[in-house]
Amino acid sequence: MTSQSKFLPKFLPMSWPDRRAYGVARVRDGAFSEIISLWRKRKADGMKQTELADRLGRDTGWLSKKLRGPGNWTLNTIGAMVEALDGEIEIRVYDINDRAAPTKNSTGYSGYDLQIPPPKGNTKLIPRTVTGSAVR
Amino acid sequence: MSIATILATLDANGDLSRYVPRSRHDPVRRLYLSKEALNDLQSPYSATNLLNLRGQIEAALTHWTLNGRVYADDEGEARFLKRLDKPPPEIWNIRVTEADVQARLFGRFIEPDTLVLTKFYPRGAFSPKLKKGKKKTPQQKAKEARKWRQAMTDCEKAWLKLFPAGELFSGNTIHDYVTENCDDFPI
Repeated sequence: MTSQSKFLPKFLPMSWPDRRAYGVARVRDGAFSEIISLWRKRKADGMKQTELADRLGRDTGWLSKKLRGPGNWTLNTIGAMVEALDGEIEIRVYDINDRAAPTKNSTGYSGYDLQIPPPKGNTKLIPRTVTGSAVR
Repeated sequence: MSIATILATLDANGDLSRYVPRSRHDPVRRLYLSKEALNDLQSPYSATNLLNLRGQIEAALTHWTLNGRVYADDEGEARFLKRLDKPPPEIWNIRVTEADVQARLFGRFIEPDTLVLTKFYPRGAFSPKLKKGKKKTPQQKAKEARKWRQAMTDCEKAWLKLFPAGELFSGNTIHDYVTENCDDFPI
């Protein structure tokens, strides 16, 4: 057995249990990011953690842990946080195959593909997309 | 040779795997996995997969590549991404998921907004699970420190195998490493 054979082909698809966990984590991460943005805004306007904790009916130790990261966030946490911060939540779900409008002229990996030399007489480089790293 | 060409060559050779998120959006930041990290991510026998962590880890990788906020807490302490105290220098880890970290993804920056991850560690890899109310003994703390040091050394060794010419990015502030959507915190 060669040393390379212990490694699997590039990027096997996730199993359904993994995809379910992925989906939960993505929702949680998204909610956390948005709520933290609103919290930062309220904090800049003078709100204190003690006031937010009071509105949530919790102690500041609980709140401090929640604000550290989204790991333990639930739907209850998200909803309560939004209300306590005088916010409003909007949720949209898309078909993953409907590509979003690009926000920049290039993607993060633009320019990170190997260029193969052009045939003789042709001065234009031909970009070669690296295989094995396609979107799953 | 440019960093982009080096990465593309390593990707083509199979020494690195470019991570493209499962998303309708294009990736913004770059992320590459070494063979070992790729194995940790998707082998059914890896420690991280035996603990069913792949979904959460992929969510963190997606968060990074889609320009998700690199957040700190209210005290200004790094949470999502943290540089570890040297030696060796410039070892970073993505913490999946704060506040109760389930996995740590070790790697280094090869240039701004470009992480190369070399190894994934599940919860419990470094610190023992303590019963409620129990504190770590000095022996447990020393053992934990040795495990962290070994993991960082392993990351450095893996890096030097990939980049023997010594390519490695080093900056002064977090914003040198992560140029957008990043909280301000000391590194």
